[in-house]
Amino acid sequence: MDLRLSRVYLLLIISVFFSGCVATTGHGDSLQTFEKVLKNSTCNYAFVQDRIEDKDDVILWASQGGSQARNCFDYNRSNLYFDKAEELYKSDVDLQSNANRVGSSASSILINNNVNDYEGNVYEKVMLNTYKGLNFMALGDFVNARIEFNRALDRQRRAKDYFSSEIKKAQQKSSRDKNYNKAQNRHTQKAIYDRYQDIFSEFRAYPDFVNPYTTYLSGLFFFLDGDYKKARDLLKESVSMQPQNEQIRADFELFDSYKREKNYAWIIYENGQSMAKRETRINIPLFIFTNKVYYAGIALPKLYERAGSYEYIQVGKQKSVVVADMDSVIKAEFEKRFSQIALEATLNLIVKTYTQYELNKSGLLGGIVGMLYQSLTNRADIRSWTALPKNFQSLRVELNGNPVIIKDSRANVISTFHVEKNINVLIYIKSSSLGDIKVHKIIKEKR
Amino acid sequence: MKLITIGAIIFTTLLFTGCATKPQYVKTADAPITMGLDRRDFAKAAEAAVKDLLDSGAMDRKGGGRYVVTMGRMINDTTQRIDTDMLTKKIRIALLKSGKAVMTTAVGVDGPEDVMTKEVRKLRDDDEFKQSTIAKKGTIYSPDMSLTGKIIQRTVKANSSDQLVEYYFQLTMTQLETGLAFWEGETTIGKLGSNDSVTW
Repeated sequence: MDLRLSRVYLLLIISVFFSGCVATTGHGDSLQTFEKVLKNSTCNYAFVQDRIEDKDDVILWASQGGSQARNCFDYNRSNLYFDKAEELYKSDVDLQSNANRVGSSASSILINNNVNDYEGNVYEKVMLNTYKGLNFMALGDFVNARIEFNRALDRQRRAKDYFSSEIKKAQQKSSRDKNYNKAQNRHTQKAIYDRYQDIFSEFRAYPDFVNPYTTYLSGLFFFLDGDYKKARDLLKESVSMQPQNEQIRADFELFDSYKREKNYAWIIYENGQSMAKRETRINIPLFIFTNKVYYAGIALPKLYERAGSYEYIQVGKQKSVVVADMDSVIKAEFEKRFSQIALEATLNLIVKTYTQYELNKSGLLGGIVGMLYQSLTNRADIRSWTALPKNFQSLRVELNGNPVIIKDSRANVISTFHVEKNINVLIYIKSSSLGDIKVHKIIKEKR
Repeated sequence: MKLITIGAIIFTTLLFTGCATKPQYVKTADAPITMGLDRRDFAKAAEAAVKDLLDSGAMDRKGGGRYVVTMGRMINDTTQRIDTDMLTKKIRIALLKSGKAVMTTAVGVDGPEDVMTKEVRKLRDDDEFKQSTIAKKGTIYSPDMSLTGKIIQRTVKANSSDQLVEYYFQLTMTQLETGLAFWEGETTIGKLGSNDSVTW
């Protein structure tokens, strides 16, 4: 065996050995197990806790744990998990040194992105602070809730800038790769994009990667905290994003001239499960050998829709209205990031194809080792915060002393609230699937 | 052999102790340490507010004497988890030292700051206490003034790598008899720094 080949063998063994199981298994199993935990509404946190203690994708599992604890109405625990994730977003993602980033992109090219720690999405950072705000509201701590909503709004402001500069920086880095031109071959790229037409065509992204829910809910919070000016400004922003939305418009008009003559209950409804990722494999043409097209299978993450729960909720004849579509927010960010994801996966495939080609030449054993390496490590990164809903809906009813009877879209009673006089309230309901309904503690305005 | 062992112990001890960071006092530098609010920011804001308040003459009571001031709501409208007492305590201390005002802890926006003023009055029917030492009825001072405020944060991107964060410390002294704001002050603190991460 010549020296070069033995080096290749060694490199492959070391890469797979040190990258652990996730390089070959991906994260599908753990995400599925967590789905079951959520679905069963168990308040046993062992699954997420073990991962956090093992420092295994802490950002991901702390976010999921925060959602699980919120579903169990354990708002303090939920915020502890969310705080953990937020802390790491700053230290391990935002402020990560360039040296580490080069390392992580090198391992994603040599093995796959599954071996790198989960770094989350911008919309996840925004939702993290939004949920923390909601948790503090449920705990009656409006002082800390205000801080969290301010943070969520600041993250939205940063989002626009992130997408215009950070993604460009990542692309520039990849463009220095010696295989960049081969990976960017238009036939290769077309083969990939053809398979994504169904999710990228015919969807309307919200402007500037903003999640309209955070803006709208922050507006409601500031209203309930007695800061009518700030509430009005945020609802004005919400209306400008979705001028046709009747609920948002009506709330803006109310905030614009509120005189405390009447009181209201807002009912926020989180419907269904957000889009998640799964692996898709595509045979793409690679033009890496002279005068010869080589077809190889690439593994890429692809978004897929998950089911909604009750279409709406209702009080009397009033039905809830979608104020933000989480799927659209997720899709917009995925689309923006996809060119870089596809590029890195193609560069990864080119390196592995070369390696396999070299090993093939060395004989039968080399060919088998190369094939094993390529097929084992050809996995897409499908991680995401899967506990988010499909959409957010809102409904406002005037309080007239009678109990508020909330029904699902099939006219079954979900809950009945007796609200004291002269007070505005927020009622929060989450239903991930039919029959699974979480009614949170009523939140009263601060007077 | 023994000498070598001793030498090795000394060497190892030095090796493992040499790098420990000892606690030290934070030296006051001109440049800000953090994009968030720190001790110096509160000191600066409080100092400026008190100077402005006393210079304005709003606390000069006609015919002499001191105003009784209560703390109204202080809103933290920033992205930082801070205790607004870091600002207000400094102002209260300066007001007391000025001799122009006293603070009441018997009335506050979320109830009395010190519940003991009311608690001791509950002892009036308790034979175990010497009744002449218990505060008499009608002796608690009602406040003349209320100090309220808000800390606002505004963050904007300054250039491709920097962000500018501005903090506005807004304070109002309201005369409670008339509901008129006798004094209002604003101090602004700006910081320019890396845009790599959030300011909190």
